[in-house]
Amino acid sequence: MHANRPLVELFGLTFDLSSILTTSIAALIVFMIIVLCTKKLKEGTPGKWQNFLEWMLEQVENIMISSIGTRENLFILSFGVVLFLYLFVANMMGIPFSVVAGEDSFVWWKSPTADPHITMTMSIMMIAYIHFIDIRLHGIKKYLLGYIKPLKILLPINVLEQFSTALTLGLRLFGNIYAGEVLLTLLAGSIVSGVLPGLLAALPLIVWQAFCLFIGTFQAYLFVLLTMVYIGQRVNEASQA
Amino acid sequence: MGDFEVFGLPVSLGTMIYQAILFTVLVYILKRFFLKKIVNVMEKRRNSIAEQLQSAAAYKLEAEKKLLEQKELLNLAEHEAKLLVSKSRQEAAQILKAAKKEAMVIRSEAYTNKERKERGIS
Repeated sequence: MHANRPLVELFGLTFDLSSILTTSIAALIVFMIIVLCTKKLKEGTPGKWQNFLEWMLEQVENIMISSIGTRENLFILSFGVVLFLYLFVANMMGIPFSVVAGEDSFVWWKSPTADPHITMTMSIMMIAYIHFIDIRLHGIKKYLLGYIKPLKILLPINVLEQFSTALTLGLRLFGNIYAGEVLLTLLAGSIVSGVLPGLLAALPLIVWQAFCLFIGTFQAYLFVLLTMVYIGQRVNEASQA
Repeated sequence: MGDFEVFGLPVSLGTMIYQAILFTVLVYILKRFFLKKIVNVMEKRRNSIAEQLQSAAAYKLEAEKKLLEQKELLNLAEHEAKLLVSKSRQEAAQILKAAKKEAMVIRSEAYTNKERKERGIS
């Protein structure tokens, strides 16, 4: 069952070709969904697709209102929507099938979020953005002073907290999707090993795929929600200070 | 293979850089060219609905005011009509009385004339 990654070295950097392929396709799908939704914009009664995107925007606005307290920020709103759609599409990609090909059994098609590189990149980006917001709102001095609040002795814990936040945010998503894919691969592999095991595995396979759909949606939602909550913590600190 | 190792796990930095650039570009393009438009449309709709609700409330107030005015006018008209009817009834009664009186006078005159004629003949 162990599969290799199709790695390529270029300019002294290593690229995982399957991750690059799947993330590009996920990004393309999100792009096409949003283009489709905003093709015929109507101020009156919205069409089916426009309604879908408006519903999505309103959901993210609700998250923003409950965690940050305002919805008047186009950047946070749009990256929330794009993040949710992107993670949702990425989580769904590995559920119907995965492609293992080549002599070295490279995994070409899987959920990109089942790769810790992708999820950790996303979470590091989110955490970096949160720190950026904090510095812009408070100024660099207050931001640095925040690390020794409420006591000076808590400095190592405060620093560690930032790393653990990034780590948990990324690895939660990765763990959920990766575990789902491992079990899917095992169940699908049993079909090859005979008629009886295949029949026995068919029902759990379908049930597990349905569960993966739920987990994938929920984890995408949770990622967006947690990002908003972290932003809210930073922003509301400003109003208290 | 990998650019560096974290706790003995190889990390492919190229994938991460690609992913970061891809997501940033995706968010930027979608925000700049597509989501801005739809958010504006939603905002406009929100405003126009609020406006319409406001104007509906104003129209309702106006309609209520007009209704009260109409009721008052109707009351006034009814009152006037009653007054007119009672006045005309009184007049009619007077006219009738006068007419009866006149008729009596004419009748009595006719009687005396008739008697006078009969007396003259006999």
